[in-house]
Amino acid sequence: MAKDIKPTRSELLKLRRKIKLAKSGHSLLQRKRDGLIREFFKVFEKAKEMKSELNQNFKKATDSINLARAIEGTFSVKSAALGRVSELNLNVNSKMVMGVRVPEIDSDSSVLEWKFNERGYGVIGTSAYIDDAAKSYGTLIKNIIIAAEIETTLKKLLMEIGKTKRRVNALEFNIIPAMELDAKFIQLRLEEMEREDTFRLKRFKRKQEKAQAV
Amino acid sequence: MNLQKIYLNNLSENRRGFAYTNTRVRAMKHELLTENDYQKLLKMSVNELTRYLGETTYRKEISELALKYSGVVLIEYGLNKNLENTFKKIYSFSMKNARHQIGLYLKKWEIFNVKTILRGKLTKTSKSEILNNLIVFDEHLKQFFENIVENASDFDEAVLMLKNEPYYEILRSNQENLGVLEDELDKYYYEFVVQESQPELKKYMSDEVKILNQLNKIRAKNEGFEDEEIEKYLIKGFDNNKKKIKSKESEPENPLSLRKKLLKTAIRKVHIFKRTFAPVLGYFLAKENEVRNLRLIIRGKHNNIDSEIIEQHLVI
Repeated sequence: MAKDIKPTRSELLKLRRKIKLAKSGHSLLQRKRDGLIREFFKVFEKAKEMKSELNQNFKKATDSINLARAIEGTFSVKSAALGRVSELNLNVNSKMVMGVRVPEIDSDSSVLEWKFNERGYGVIGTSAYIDDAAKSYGTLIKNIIIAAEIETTLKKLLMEIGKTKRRVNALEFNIIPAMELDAKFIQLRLEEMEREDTFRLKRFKRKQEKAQAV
Repeated sequence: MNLQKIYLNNLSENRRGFAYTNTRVRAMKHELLTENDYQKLLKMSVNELTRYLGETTYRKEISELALKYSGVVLIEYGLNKNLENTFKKIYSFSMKNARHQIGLYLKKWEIFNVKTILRGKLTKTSKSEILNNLIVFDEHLKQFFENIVENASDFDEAVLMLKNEPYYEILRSNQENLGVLEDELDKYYYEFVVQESQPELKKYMSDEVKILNQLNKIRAKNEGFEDEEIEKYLIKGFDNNKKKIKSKESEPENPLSLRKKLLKTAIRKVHIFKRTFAPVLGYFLAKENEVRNLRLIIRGKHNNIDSEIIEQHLVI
């Protein structure tokens, strides 16, 4: 690599500037990596809480629908569930966390908070078991949406941490040492050139003195 | 004297057909599961339960459906089919006024079928699934419902095919909202039955409606509804507010336990010897309750529902 470099003083100055810049970039990236890791652990804690809440709500929803099926019969529950079909609108926006674009999901939760008279099944012919099952699944879906947001944030943060780590390592173990090597080469080459110049001047002076003496 | 004669004539007219029907029904009551059977069932696994039911009155229906279904679904469909066959059998041998009263009670299944078909059509459920979930006690009605399921392409067409039924106006005017339509159909059923039925059925229905109203009041309150709004979901004309059903200690009781108590009292009437509708009503309720209990036990065991919860909901 050193062979492609012009061993000039201006090149050396340019290289020194580059090394300085790379070093400050390295320290910045190191700080970014540490910040990202800290942020990752914060989100990770939230994800852990959300996961356990999700598991609890999933169990509650499954239990309540199983109880409703046992008491009311499978078809009654199934047809009550299909009484009113509606789509859940999700708005996926993005926000920045330490320079990383992560999703922010907004949902129109009114669909998930329907009261028993809005769910499309008759009140008189059904029971509170079906209401409980519907309510539990509404809560579960809300949890799933939040969990999806947190999990995607985690994945994006992890990817960014990996990328930053690779950059830090590349700067630390590859780019900066190579540039320093180049700078050292130029320095040596310049010193060598200086010595050659001095020697050439001395030889020229000796030749001149010899000529004068003759 | 004349009035007395009319009264006695009416009395004998009202009692016509009950002696034969009640005797036949009484002969069927030994096939119902006893408390000891339930204690055994509660200790069995799902496979053991399936095998056990295969040796009881449910054998025929379970064997018939075994080609199409398996596991818990097979049992559930088998139980429903058996209930349907029981209704069919009793309705077919009943006569005169007994037949009329049985028809009135079983009208609730007619309403159930209408609701099932309409929900099925609205949600585009397969024809076979809708047909499997119908409980029809009369051949004529069976053909009628099958025709609707087979030929109605959508919800509106299904409603149109019911235009000769007395509740068509309810269906037509509430087509936009299935929930309201179902509620109005249920109200129609209770009002109709109470109007037409004899004292035993009338009394049972009135008590059931009162409990149903209490349960729905609690449901509505839990959802945060105001009293005025709650009124929409109550079946009127059954003294909802004036008289609250109270336990012996005059403490207001949990409606669920009241319902259990009502069911237990009504079921016990299967044992009485009277030329009234009470024994048949008792048998119907006992059979429906048995199917519900079995479904609860099997589904509960299959889905690992806590045995305490299962026992809490059983009516034995």
